[in-house]
Amino acid sequence: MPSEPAKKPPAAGLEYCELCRHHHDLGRRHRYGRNHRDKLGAALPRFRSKLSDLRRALLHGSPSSQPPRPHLWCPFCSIDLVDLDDRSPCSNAIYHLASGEHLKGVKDFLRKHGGGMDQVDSLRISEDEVAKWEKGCESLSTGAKTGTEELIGPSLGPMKDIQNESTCDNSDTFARTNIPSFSNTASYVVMPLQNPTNGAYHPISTECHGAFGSGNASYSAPYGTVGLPITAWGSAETHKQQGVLSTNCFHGTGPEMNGHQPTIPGNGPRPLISFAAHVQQSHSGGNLSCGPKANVHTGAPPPWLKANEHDPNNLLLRSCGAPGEGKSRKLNPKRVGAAWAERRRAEMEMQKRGEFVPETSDSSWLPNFGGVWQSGTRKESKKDFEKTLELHDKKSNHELSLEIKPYISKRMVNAISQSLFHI
Amino acid sequence: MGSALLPTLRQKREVDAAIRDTLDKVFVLRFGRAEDAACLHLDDILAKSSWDISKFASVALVDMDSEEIQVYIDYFDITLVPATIFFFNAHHMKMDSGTPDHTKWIGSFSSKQDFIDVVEAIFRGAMKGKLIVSCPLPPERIPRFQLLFKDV
Repeated sequence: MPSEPAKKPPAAGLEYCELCRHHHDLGRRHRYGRNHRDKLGAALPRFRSKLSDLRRALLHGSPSSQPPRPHLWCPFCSIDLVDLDDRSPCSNAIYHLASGEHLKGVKDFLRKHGGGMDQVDSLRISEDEVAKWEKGCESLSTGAKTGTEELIGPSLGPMKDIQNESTCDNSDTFARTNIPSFSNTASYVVMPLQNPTNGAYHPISTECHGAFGSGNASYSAPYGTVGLPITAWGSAETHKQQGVLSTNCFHGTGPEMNGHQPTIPGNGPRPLISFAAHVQQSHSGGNLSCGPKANVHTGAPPPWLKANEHDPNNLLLRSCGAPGEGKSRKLNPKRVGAAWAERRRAEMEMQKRGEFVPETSDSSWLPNFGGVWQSGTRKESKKDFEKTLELHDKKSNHELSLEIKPYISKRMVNAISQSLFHI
Repeated sequence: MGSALLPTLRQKREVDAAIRDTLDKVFVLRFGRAEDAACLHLDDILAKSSWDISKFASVALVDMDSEEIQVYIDYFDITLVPATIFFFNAHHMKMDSGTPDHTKWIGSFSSKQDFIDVVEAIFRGAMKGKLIVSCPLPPERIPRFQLLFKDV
């Protein structure tokens, strides 16, 4: 009896592999393929590094080289974890990575794509870590509040993020505890960000510190925070300060401030106050004019343009010419007729200036033209045409030079000559 | 006559000056007669699109009946009217549109956009250093004609 041919296993339907991003009909065998294993080997460590960055930055508090990512893609659950709440960055990501859904997603992923179930813990955040993080957040928020009551002035650290809730709390507590007559209008003034909060440091505009004397030359606060001392200000001065803050004007009280404000080094014994509003004001640069606020509604130019005006580096750049002009002049040197265009442009400029330009074109000038029945180069076809033109001109001239005379026979010639002889 | 917006050139030196002074832009030169219907249609399209292409092209009309222009008619071998010739930096630009004559565009355009596309193709080719470009229009929108070699 002939042996029955081995029954082929039922063909697996087409499946889509998210890792390899293509369809296959290999079924479970696909995950043992080389390409798939390579892709898996690249994807898992990539996610692990993102997770470790997140963990390091948020749970342990140590600064990482990069700020925490605003959004994180979870490949196991196919979810984009976006943080809408800036007050607690990456909270969405942390809660998701600690959730049961994510754990299930990770297990399903590893089961489907291979990789070993022992990696599950390295691809999620444990509940202990979440609890530690929550505790840390609470202590941060309460610690900032209590810390300000003890110090005369807070440290400059929390001021980096003006949208940070603790910052606003700082300013409010200062008003309550240290400067009773101080107005809170400054803390409620919402100004557009005038300096980046991504860790970049920008030099402080000297105009901001003119009123504070030369002592602030060594001031090295990040983001150019301007400090206003409290202890040197009596209650009478607080009103002036109030006026300053409400109108965003430093120079208006310049001499008075100079008179009452000794030079204050950056690390001097008198701690300085920095407000969220001041962080913005210090970089206003030319926006320190007294009077109404200069903003979009009043039609004032944006502060980055004003800052650029006073920036000596930008003056240098502008003297070289606007970038747009340079770009338009940089035409492709290989374009058609480039040499001709440059020559002609130079001639036209000379003509504009009134200089003598030798006449390069005459009535016989013809442009470069490839003939309809062209058989050689364009120059040759042009020469051929010019030759035919000359021939045509010669012919026409020759025809014009011929005079049409009447016919005189020999008899007439003899008769005329005889009559002349007899005379 | 011609369009009120586009300059009409009747003398050789005017044509020479226009070709020589148009730098780094496509120069479109239409040879035709104002009383011809196809010329009128083409003039209308040229006038309407002249502003749109003003940044990279300029357009001028040439009256074929003028005496001084006959040398250009012979040089460019213009037998059918209207004929549109393209220049870039005083160099003639050819276009392969599937017709027997690659040196000029015979007839009118079916729409403004067709003309703009043609000029743009020529400009792009010229900026890359090409003296002949392919026509971007589909064959059904290209006017067909027969070209006879010395009336043979």
